[in-house]
Amino acid sequence: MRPELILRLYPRAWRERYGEELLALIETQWPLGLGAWLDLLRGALVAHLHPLAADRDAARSSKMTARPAIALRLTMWVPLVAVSIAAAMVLIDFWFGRGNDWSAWFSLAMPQSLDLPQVRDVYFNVNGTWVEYFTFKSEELNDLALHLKMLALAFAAALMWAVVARRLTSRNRPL
Amino acid sequence: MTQPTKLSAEALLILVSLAEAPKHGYAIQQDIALVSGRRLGPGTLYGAIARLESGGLIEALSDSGARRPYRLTPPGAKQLGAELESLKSLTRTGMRRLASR
Repeated sequence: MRPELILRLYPRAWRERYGEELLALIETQWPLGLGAWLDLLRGALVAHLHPLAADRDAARSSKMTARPAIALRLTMWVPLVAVSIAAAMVLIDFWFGRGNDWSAWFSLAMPQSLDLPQVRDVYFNVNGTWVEYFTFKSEELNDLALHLKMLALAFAAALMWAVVARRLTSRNRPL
Repeated sequence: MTQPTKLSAEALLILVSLAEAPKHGYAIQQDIALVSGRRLGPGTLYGAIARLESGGLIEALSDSGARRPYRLTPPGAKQLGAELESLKSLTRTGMRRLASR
């Protein structure tokens, strides 16, 4: 990859003003390590979110005012909401055991009998009598645990995205 | 009286570097590495330079060229002084509290 291609990631006015200098600096460090690549990508993203006056004017005249920042702000909470909905669906599915009955998702009525994923079991108590009890099937619990673990990871990633997006679009960004 | 814009760590390092003499991007990067042991990536360095220049705290000395030097403007020098005074006060307080433990 040629170093000039990196500059295409930056807004036009930014590139015209600082492109030549940035390129000269990059060439002193070529080939770049992973850290420098990530740094340039972050720099390009920040340059789009906080454009120079010339880029802001160009965006305004083409009716694209602050489009990246607005898009980022709009998408900030989408992953969090999606993961929360998925977590609710997993729990409802486990509880009602109605994963395939889509009409149940839209019904507010409680089911007549709870179709819990349970198995009947018995044990002897201290008096020597049979005691009957119900328990969840272990595979159901394992599935639930696996789904919740995956959702916890997705939730952490969504939260990190929200924090990063909030920081990047902050209006009180220091110089 | 308007509150001066807060400086990021990178911006502060660049201003400190330019307080010595005008420098171009590569020289600023080298000087910061020497003074603070921190090497600013090219994207971070030019991002901060762009913000400082648009905020009027630094200015370019010539109009074109790949090695355009920058210098501190009077408002930049004033804000750097205020920022360093604030850090000095913070350092003094921190050291006093550490010593009294």
